[in-house]
Amino acid sequence: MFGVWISEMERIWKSKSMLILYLIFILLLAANVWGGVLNGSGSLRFGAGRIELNNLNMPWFMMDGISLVLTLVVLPVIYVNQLSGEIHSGAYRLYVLRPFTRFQIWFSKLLALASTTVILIAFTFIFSMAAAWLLFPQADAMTLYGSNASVNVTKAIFYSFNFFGLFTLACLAKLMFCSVICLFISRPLVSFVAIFVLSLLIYRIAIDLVILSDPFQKILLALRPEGYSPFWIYSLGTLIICGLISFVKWQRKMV
Amino acid sequence: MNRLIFCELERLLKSKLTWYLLVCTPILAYVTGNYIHVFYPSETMSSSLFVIIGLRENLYLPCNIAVAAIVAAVYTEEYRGGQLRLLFLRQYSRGKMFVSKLLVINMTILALLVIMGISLSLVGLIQFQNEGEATIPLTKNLPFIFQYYILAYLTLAAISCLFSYIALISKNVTYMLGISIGYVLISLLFDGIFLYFANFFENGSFMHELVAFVLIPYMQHTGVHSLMNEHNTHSILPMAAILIFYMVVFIWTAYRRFVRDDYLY
Repeated sequence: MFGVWISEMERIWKSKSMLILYLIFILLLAANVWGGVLNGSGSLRFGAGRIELNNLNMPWFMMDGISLVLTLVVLPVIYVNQLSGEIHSGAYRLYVLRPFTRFQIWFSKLLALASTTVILIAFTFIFSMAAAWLLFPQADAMTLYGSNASVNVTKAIFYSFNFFGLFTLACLAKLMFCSVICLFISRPLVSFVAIFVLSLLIYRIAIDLVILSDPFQKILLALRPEGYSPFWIYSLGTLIICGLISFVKWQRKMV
Repeated sequence: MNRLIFCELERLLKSKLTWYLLVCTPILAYVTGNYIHVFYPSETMSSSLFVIIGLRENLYLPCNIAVAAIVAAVYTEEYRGGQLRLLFLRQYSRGKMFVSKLLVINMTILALLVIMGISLSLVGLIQFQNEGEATIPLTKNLPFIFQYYILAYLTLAAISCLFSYIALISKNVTYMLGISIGYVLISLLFDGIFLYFANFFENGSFMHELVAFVLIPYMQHTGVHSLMNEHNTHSILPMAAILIFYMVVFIWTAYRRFVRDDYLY
């Protein structure tokens, strides 16, 4: 089982396109940090005001735009390419000949994609922390979003860490959502467009499903002292329900 | 050449994706009508205004994504599916094939824009029938609407040239769509960066407008609207220069890639 996972990881990371995408993403992160350095302050997209940037709030604030690009573009590109792309090209006809059960093959693929997601987000966290401490004014306290309470440096770092943790959870929910779409629509062009459009429209069913396209504000709400239970319900709910549908559909899928 | 264009058009029309886009356009117009009912004061909205506002709300994201999908279907998917290998066996030159594909893409964009306009007019007449109709009748406002749609078409044609180039350098549909949609989102989300550089120049000057509208989605979001509604005539020249630049440079580079490079390997 571990061998299948390694094999899937190799297939994701040894692709030249993946490395180019990763490079573009790093350039985007750098441009975003540079924009923050030039302006010195930033506005929250959903009308929650303007904040002066410092080393404590920069790591999570820079995710305002980056989270949208990650959840709507970068991660779906990787997921669709690995799931729809391989089903559509017929690569799975060869994979299923290996001496593993269908469950193991699909599980290892999703696990490899989840690991890739965690690696990307962990890298973003380290990059943003390093940039914040090197390039932005040093502060000794940070005001929490949605509250007047100030926290010290240790708690502010912990806040940023929690932000990226919750963002990872939202991205894993998105992975399961994409896996379901890719199993129903195996043509990569159509599945990518369908994922993009459905991610933008699904919040009309339940407003908190906006985590599938733009989780930034909901994560900040969940990090308030009083918490925000709909974030947990919808992210974990999507993860579990879409995960179940994905595995059931995969068992019956003709490759 | 006509047969080649007809053949390309036939192949695109046989694709389910084109029909999905055609069917989705009236649905999008209907959804926009509902959205505008909620977010715009009803006394300020009329059916003729809705035809413009409806397009403005959809131009910079849904329309650009539709264009990216069409371009991906025409270039990248045919490459991935191996159909281009068969097409290159025909008696036509690669240059003619490239031109015919480009024409077909532009014809499809025009058709989608016309359907969008008709759908928005119908939805506007139904949903905003009695509101503000006395002030701006749809027929009297037609020249203004026509100008707005021509401008919108030009921006979409220019962005389709960029997407064509991206499609030809990407050997994978998902990466092509990812880069194209990434370009659109980055233009809209990180506008602060290029507006920072635009502010180095005098506000309203040629250079200021040139830097501010250098990325087409931002031009669609802000530039076209300010040009038509606020009559910022000083931005006509920079916007025209940007659109011509996109059309010339990216058609040329895409053409070179399609014709001269060893595209199939």
